[in-house]
Amino acid sequence: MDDTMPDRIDAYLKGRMSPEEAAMFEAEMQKDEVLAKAFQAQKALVEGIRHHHRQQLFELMQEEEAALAAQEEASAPGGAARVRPFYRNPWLLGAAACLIVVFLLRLLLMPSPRQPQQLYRQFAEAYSSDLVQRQVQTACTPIQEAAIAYNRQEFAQAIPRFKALLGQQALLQQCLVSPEELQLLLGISYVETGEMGLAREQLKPLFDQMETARWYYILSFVKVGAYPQALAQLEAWEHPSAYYRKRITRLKAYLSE
Amino acid sequence: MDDKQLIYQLRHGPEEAFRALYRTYRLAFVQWAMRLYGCRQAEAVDAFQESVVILYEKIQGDELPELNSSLKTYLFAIGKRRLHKQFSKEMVVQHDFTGLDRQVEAYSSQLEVSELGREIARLVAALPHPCNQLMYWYYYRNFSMEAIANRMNYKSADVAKTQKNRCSKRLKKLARQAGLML
Repeated sequence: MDDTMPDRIDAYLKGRMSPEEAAMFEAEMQKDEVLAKAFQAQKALVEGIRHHHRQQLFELMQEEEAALAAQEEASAPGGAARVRPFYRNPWLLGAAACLIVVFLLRLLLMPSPRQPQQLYRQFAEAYSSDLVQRQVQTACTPIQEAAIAYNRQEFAQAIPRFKALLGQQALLQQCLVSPEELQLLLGISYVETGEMGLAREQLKPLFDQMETARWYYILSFVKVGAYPQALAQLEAWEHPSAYYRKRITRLKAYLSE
Repeated sequence: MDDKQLIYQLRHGPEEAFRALYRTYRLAFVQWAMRLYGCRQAEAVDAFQESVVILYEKIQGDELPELNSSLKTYLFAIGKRRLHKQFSKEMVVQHDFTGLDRQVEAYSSQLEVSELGREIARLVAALPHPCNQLMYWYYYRNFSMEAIANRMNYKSADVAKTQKNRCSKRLKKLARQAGLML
């Protein structure tokens, strides 16, 4: 082993070689078994050193998590903040007993002006509004599930969900989701699964309303290597927003390479 | 503390800055990940921790590209990659030509470690001073030999390099004694 070998291995591992030097080094390793073995050993050492220091960071983060959990527990009702349960605190116990006595006396001596009927109605109203909210949340679950599948890039699962939802206008309205949004996500999902014809069918009607639809319409050509069509679409895009102007310039450069 | 101040402090290594980074973005990230990916809190916390480590290493190694966006956006972009990797069952062609997503794409597999790497990490924990400190600065913080020589009061970068090579040999010897194939 020559003296420069450890330095050269380190330079390679730290990415400090030029692409030419790195290629030469790799070629050399293929021929020289001693160098290849030394490289593997050094690589494992560096990996171990980095892993060790990362573990220390993870330990710090676990400390933070423990502190957060303790904070949450302390602030939660019945948590650590309550040093002693109230029934073991004679002062609190006495105060609670007094309150109960006062309440019972009040019931006996001064009947409440509120009639049970009113109380029931108030309770029913509060309950029903909560119920409506819960019903809305439950009804919107399929939309949420479709969106989650999309976000997780599980496009094959997202597509049938979006398709099923598109016909349910009332539900979309109830959940404050526009059909166009769903159509866009369906179109993008088709692009991702390579069904370009179906993708374009969904995306084209949305051109005027959504730049994202137009962008993915163009990408549906890029993905199958139809660069001239993609370039023609890019050229035809009038007045894009500043955000898409930059992307268009980059994509044009990429396609023209 | 604004982004620039936080980056400065993280670059210079105080543990408190790392904790501040963690506390600042943890809640927002976990809520965001749970909402967008329907994952459990523990999964979101795992993704957050890995993203924070990647960001921290980029800052410490001075490898953070000039940010056009906030540190939060950058951290979330790293997290997005991490979550996509976890949830996507098949690799998809990336259509996003924006710089940010491209930059963070390469980081996604950085924290993976082999079984041999894990074993060696245990040996690193047992390395005595100055080897532990020297290896940390050279291999984890990517300091130059000159910088290490200054910090450790060595006469020159060459002395630091000799010491580093000795420490490498020592670690390799420990690995062989532990029966690891090196």
